[in-house]
Amino acid sequence: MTDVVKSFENLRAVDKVSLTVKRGSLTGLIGPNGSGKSTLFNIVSGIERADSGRVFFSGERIDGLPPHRVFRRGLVKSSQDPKLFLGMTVLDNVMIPPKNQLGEKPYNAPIRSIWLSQEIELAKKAGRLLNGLAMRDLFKQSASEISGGQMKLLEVGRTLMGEPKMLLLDEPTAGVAPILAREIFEQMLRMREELDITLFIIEHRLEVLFEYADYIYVMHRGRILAEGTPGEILENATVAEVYLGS
Amino acid sequence: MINITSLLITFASFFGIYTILSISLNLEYGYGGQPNFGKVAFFAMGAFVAGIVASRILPLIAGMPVTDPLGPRGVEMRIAISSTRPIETVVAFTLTLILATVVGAFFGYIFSYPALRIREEWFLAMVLLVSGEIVRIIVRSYPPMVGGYQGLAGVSNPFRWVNDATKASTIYAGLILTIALAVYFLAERLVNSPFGRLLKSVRDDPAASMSLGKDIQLVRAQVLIIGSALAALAGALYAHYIGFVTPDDFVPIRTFDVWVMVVLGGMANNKGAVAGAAVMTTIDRATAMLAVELGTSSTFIEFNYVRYVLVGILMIVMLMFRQRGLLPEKPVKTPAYEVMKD
Repeated sequence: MTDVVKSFENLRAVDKVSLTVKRGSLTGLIGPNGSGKSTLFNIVSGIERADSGRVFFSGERIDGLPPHRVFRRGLVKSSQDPKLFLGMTVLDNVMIPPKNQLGEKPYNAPIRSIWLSQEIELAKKAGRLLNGLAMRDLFKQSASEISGGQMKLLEVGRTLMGEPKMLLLDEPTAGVAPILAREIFEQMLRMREELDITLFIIEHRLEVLFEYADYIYVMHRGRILAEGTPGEILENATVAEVYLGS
Repeated sequence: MINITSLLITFASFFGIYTILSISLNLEYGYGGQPNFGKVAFFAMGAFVAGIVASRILPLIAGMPVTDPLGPRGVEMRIAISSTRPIETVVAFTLTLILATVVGAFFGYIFSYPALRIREEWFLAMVLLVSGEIVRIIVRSYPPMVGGYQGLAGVSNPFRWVNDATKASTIYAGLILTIALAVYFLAERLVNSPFGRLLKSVRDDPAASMSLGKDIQLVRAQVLIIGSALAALAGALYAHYIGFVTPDDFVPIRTFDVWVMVVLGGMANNKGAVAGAAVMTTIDRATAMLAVELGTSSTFIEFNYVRYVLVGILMIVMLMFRQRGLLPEKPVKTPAYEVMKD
């Protein structure tokens, strides 16, 4: 993205931000609360529209596209708070993201033979995914009845059903136990290897992020304050001063 | 003296019509989360189409000139055709059902088009509520369509040519129930599919659904088109049952009757929608019948209004003790569950 600006009334939430996320990398985005990280993710995923600037994905401009079109290009965002469909089962939650489902067209829906084989294939894939998340036994359970940690895992796992090329994860380990936080990151690394996806992650658990990330951007007051490998960021005196506080 | 046969025919006919209406709103709101407060507008459109086809197209199909479509000669002519020309009558009736469905679907999309672009779905409810009244007032004030406030008579039972009133009504009630059954199966197929899953996701969290690649405006428009088409179908069946089309029959309270059916029966459950329609038909017919019976014995109660009291009490009781309705929501039943069991 280049020179992206977004203001809310008098507040400039994102101020001429330019950054690049390398294909296949695990890139972290850190910064104090209110530094503009989530707004930046919302702009990339189409939820918010930038006032100016350009956003590219795989060489094509995506700024101004609605979220569902951004998703279809393979750029998928997972929210800070799990945004599960709480009135639906665990299985139905993971069956929503796949693209081009024939049975989602109302004129196909009543004719089961049109979409049956695709549905079976997707269900098998969902089964494998839930197995990986150790949640297969919960497939019939309402999403509102699972634990907070499971909700988080399901939210992250669900995005994979949409066959993303790049995942934007907004605090994937927020509210989960430290052990589970590492497990989530391990799982994400496995995903990256198996599915060849790029990960761009907002994270407050710096000790975990710095262990796994290839590259880090630091935001402060809507701007990119610093960038580099985790080692470089740790040694950056300005970052330490304004963000790490030591 | 109560005529049981006539009572059963009336009950079956109203039950079928109410079932279609209830299922249509249940699709829109129960599954899709779209609060259609203008249901009566689409119900009315079906009835208006029935009036227009009966008064203008039926004579043409029968090879006769369209003379005085709104006046007594027109009424005589279409009653004569319906009584003696079975093929023409059934063809015109079939055309009515098709046209009503198409018109309902078209206006369902047109009415919802601006409102669907607003994030807050209750704006849609208000727009549709107002649109419903606008439709009624325009048709009421414009006599060339279906006779304005005076209405249009002679929209006959499509089986009038049987020449036995009870038999014709029985066959028609059977047809209404068959169509209602078909609508029920169609709705079951629709909701127990990826489309049903998608509808629920849009209802539960539109923003999350959008961020997972779903075009929520399209989905909302689709469900409103289907719901409006079904409501118009019910309206056409209703007009041919009553035999008379008047805009004053389509006041906003009818919309809320359908809401009562859905809330009472259970949202996002088609069986619940049918159960709600059954309860509502029972209250509706029982109070109407008692109003006639007691009216002749000059009681001090105007029994027609007891219906509203009963419905109100029932709603309060349901909302206090069984908020999810008689038959609560169930997960969608797609083959994916069978795969997971293996």
